[in-house]
Amino acid sequence: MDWGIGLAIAGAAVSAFLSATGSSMGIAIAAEAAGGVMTEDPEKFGRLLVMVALPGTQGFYGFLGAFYIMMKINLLGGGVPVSFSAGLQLFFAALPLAVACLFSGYYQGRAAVAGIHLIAKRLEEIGKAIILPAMVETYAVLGLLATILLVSGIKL
Amino acid sequence: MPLAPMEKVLIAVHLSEKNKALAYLQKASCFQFSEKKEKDFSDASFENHADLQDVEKAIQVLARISGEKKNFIENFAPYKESIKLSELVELFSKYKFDDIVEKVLSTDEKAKDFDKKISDLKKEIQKLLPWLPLDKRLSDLYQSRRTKLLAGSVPLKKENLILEEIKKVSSFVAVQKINEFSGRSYLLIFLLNEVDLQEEFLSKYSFSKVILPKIDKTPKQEIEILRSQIEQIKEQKELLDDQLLLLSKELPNLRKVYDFLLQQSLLKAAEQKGNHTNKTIYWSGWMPKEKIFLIEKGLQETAPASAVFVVKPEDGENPPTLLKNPKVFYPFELITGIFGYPGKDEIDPTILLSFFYILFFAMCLSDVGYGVVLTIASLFFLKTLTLSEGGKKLLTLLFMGGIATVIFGAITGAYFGADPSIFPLPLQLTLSKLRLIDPIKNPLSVLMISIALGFIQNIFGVFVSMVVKILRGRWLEGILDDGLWIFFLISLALFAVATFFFPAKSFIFSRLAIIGAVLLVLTQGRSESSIIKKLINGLLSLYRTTSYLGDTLSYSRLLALMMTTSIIGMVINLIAQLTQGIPIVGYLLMVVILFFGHIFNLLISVLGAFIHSARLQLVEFFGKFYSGSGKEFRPFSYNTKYVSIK
Repeated sequence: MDWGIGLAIAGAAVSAFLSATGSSMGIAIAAEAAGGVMTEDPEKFGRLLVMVALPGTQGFYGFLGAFYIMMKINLLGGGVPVSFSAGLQLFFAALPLAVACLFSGYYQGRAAVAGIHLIAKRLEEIGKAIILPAMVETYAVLGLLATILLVSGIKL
Repeated sequence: MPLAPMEKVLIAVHLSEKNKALAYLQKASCFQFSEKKEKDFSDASFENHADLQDVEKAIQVLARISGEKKNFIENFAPYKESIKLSELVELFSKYKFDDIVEKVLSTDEKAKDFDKKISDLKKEIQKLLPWLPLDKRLSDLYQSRRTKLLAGSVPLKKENLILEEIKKVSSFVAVQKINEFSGRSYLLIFLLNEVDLQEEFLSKYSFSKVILPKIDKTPKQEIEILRSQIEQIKEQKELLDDQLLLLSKELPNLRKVYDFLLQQSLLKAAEQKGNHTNKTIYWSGWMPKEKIFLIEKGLQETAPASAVFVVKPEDGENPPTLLKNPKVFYPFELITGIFGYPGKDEIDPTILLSFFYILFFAMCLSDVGYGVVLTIASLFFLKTLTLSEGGKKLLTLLFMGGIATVIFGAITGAYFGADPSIFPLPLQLTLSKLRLIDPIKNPLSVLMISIALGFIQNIFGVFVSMVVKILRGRWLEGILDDGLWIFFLISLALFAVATFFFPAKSFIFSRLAIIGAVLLVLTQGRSESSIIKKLINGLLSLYRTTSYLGDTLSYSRLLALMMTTSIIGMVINLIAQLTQGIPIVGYLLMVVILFFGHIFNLLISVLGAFIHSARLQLVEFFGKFYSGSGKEFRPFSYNTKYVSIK
């Protein structure tokens, strides 16, 4: 059994599905709040859509991390041999991204809910409403960076 | 960078001309009422004007009935027909909007009544539906003098239990099972009048009672009658809907009337902000200095018995802020506006952030293809949509960002997620020469560039802070607080760079850094009273190095966003290629995937690029020198919902 490639795939998979989970939780709570606002004021749909989309980036970061690992082991082009220890390294390298995106996706969703409440009352403050949840995203970005740098540093 | 100078003015008008004067001021849009009065009369209370509310309700009813659909873009930038005020006045004087609104609202009221009736009848049907198999007239059930009827349902599982238990209560009990319906069994229980079933007994078996109406018909007949009644009401309701649909051609006019009424109520609100003397009314407020002469002249033309005086602001009264930037920098006011407008002692940071903003935006997007699409799309929307001031700024910003993205995309060599090798040979060679960095193969060098840019912007921020302090005469503070930090941070950075590249020379910079640190320790605690406190505070101030470090590292997001755009673009191309093997529909599928995939990537990447470039300005850059303590200048002007007044 080829443990190396298995572990590398596990890293890619964890990065993709944990991030996607975080994003879907975040988007779900933001969408619930947006739906509530639209019962009163359906005109705000466009602006609210932006707010709901904000926690969606984590899912993409996770997917990106997964793809970066796949490129590293050339999985789509037939694959290169990956030693057990290299596989383990790739798996651990995926964790900062996966875990940071899981939590930041959810919490960015909560921050977006607060922004949605702000837009409900004061549409003109949409700029501020968008910037605050972006503060949370910073740490997803840092997780992504850590993973990218770790993966690019690993020698197969 | 300086703000447009503001003056406090007092506008006085003879009472006979107050309406003309206000109408002129609203049109000129250069005068903001001073705050004190404004709080007493918030605009909101005037929007509650009864006429306005009715018109608004009628508009909503008609818009719903006519099933107007907005396209996707209109959700963000609703279309506003532009119209002259005189046309609105004319429409308002001729158009019998009261009658139409009255008719719409009363028709809608009737339609709602019908809806309620229908839902009541439906509930009635729901109640009878389980009794459908009962082939007796319901009134017959109540005929016996000596027995009484208990109708209701129990859950299927408890059916046998309750039947047994009832027999124990009295032997003169008849139970008839009528139906099984959605998990419950529907029973008719006939009891002697003397026998009583306790509530607890019934609730033990979850028996839920139903009072069947004493009518002369079987449930089936009754249901049929109810259904036909519903049909009749529905037909009547459709007639009403048709009437409303006919009325919905009045929508455009009603919307104009709404906006006209809204302006009237704004004028009324403005009038109440004024103070009276016997013959005049006067308002105090703010006006840009350069406009005063113009407004005075214009006002005299419309309302000759008027005057504009420049007065001195009261203590503690700060003028609102009007930004005044050359046209190129105007869209960047959007970013400044998100954070807050500069107060009276601050400078306008718009120009300072513009270069960094557009560079960072381009770095995040960094794809020639996306840049071209963004440029064309934003130009197209700028030309075709009616936009608010903010919308115009945003689209112009995206337009500029698009152009910058094309340039930066050529440097990273990305064309819709592909590299230059997709082009035919001669072009490919030129484009390859333009390609200076490949972020995917070489993320480290992009990371270094991002962090270096961050360092530069941070130092620039501290530098701006120093210059502002010196210009305000606080030169000692400027040099000791900001100047020393610049010296210290630069020598630290040079030391870090030198240790990597010329380790032999690095000692020079380490000594410079140490000198800087010592100077900071000696000076940063100078406001404290005792020597020891001075030293401790000086030492503690060195901790600020970590916050500078954090601020600089924050720019690493530029690399992350750049890679997100390019890798997702690559993946879309890859998936599209996989479809090539599929016979017949393969190419079609490929085109569809490429088209929607790249549009999607463009949208999320632009959102990310916009937000994160803005954040770097607002948090990292502004943190050094800007507090945004001012209030935006919001002149008295037209404020419309559906049309824009020329």
